[in-house]
Amino acid sequence: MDVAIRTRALTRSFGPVRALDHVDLEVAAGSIFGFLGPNGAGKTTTIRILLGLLEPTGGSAEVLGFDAARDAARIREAAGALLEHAGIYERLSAEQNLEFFGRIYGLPARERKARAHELLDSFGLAAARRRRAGTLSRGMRQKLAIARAMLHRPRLLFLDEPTAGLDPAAGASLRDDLLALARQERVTVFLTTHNLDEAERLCDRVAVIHRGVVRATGSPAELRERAGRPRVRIRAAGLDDALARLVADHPDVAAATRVEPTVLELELRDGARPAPIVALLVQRGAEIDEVRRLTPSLEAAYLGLVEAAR
Amino acid sequence: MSFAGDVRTVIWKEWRELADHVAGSRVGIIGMVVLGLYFGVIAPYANGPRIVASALAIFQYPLLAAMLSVQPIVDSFAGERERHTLETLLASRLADRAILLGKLLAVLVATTGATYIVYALALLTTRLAHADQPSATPPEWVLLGVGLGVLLVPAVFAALGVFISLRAATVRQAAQTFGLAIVGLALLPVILGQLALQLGSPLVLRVSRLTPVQLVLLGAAALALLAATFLAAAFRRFRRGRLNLD
Ligand SMILES: Nc1ncnc2c1ncn2[C@@H]1O[C@H](COP(=O)(O)OP(=O)(O)OP(=O)(O)O)[C@@H](O)[C@H]1O
Ligand SMILES: [Mg+2]
Repeated sequence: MDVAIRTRALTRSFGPVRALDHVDLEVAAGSIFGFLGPNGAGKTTTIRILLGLLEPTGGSAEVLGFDAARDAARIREAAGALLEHAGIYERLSAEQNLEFFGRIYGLPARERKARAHELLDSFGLAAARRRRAGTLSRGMRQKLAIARAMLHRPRLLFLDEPTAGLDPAAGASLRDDLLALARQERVTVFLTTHNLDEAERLCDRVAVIHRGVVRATGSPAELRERAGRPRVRIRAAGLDDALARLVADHPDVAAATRVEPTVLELELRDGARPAPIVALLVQRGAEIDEVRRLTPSLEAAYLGLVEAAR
Repeated sequence: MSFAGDVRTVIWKEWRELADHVAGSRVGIIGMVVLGLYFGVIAPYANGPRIVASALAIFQYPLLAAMLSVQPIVDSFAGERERHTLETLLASRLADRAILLGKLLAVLVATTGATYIVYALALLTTRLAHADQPSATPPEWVLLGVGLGVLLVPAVFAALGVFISLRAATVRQAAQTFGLAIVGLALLPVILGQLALQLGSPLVLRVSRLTPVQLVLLGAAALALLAATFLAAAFRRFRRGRLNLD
């Protein structure tokens, strides 16, 4: 595996506050990595360290083969970033904001213009391109900032809460863009988000951080599976409390609840299958309408991890 | 993407922001026009050649340039911090020195350039309005003094201002600290003068024997040294990983 980002025991304290505590991360090149965690967990701090904007107090980080403490200039050269604040110059026009960064990254004048046009178009900002950026709405500024991060076609994109403030359509279109970048151009994307649905749809791998400690890493599917025991929902006629108690006492069942008169929800023990339970119910005269496996959501997994850490 | 190119890129951005800032406030535009008219036309017209051709000019025009530089220079870093653009700027590939030098030169070139234009206007006004007076053409040492002073006094201001602005949380705080620092700086020649008078009459004697041109050059050297000191301090203070980002 080609690794774009690797941290080892990365630690950062602010006085008594341990913002990061021995964080180990590995992000594959060309993948989309989601960094999840509650407010104050240490996500932004991590991005700052990876870009050399903040010195770690311990451990090390390597980004695109460069050490983040010693060679951060090389990292910044190759990366694009949307940080916690959009970082838009409100006194410049939308277009000038892009032009400034085009100049910084040495795009020739013609390419700069073309690329700015293309991005403003694709973000629906074409009509606003001459407007002073200070007069744009929050979501428009956010889009402009994402366009700015992508402008010079970096190999690595850091996006701190990219969809914050975007309308649902813009969020969806950004997700499509990011997926295309990763799949077609092998761009590595390191993003943070509070939108777990988004993380699930977008990310190849996620890590959950809480109070500076990484609590879990894996694909969204892995995290979901790890989080909850398999659950089964059975809809049947002829259920009663006695039958529910009988099912609850079955050795394969960890818990059973009659959530509606005709609906029973089961939590199975590890490795158990629903068939024997269904057979038991049929044998006791219940008429089964539907048996459905409930997959735990990433949100449930996330909440479980964060709760467990409290 | 040479170093000089990066400095130019920063200047490009700073000037566009500055233009918007000045153009955005009526007070800003009127203030600039009034200052320009006063020092370029009204003062030399009303007060005669001494405005441009005496030692007064060596104080007046450099001070004008320095005054013009204060607002943009205290804004240089503190303003980016306050408006939340500093972190994004620092996350770019621009080198620390290119950012610092670009910001400093953007202010210096603008204020020094504008003041040279105003002085040229004042010379023209004097020539037209007071052609009959023998002192209408400034002596060499005044021209040299104005030329160097208009460059070096704002250079001292800019280097000191950048140094202060780097650490300040807000523009207001930067302005306050800068004001105090300038008062301290203005006391420096007074104290040194007192000291020189008390300590050594030979030194005073030697200085008093200098020609005006030599005196101007001496002053310029002192200013250059001061500016270089502040600039070096600013470079040392600018450590990306240690800067307060918000
Ligand atoms: N410059 C600083 N000085 C002191 N403490 C800081 C500083 N920056 C961050 N912290 C602390 O470090 C911890 C992690 O902050 P960080 O901004 O990385 O969180 P986050 O995961 O990005 O949160 P959010 O989801 O709210 O953006 C918090 O406790 C925060 O208060
Ligand atoms: Mg954050």
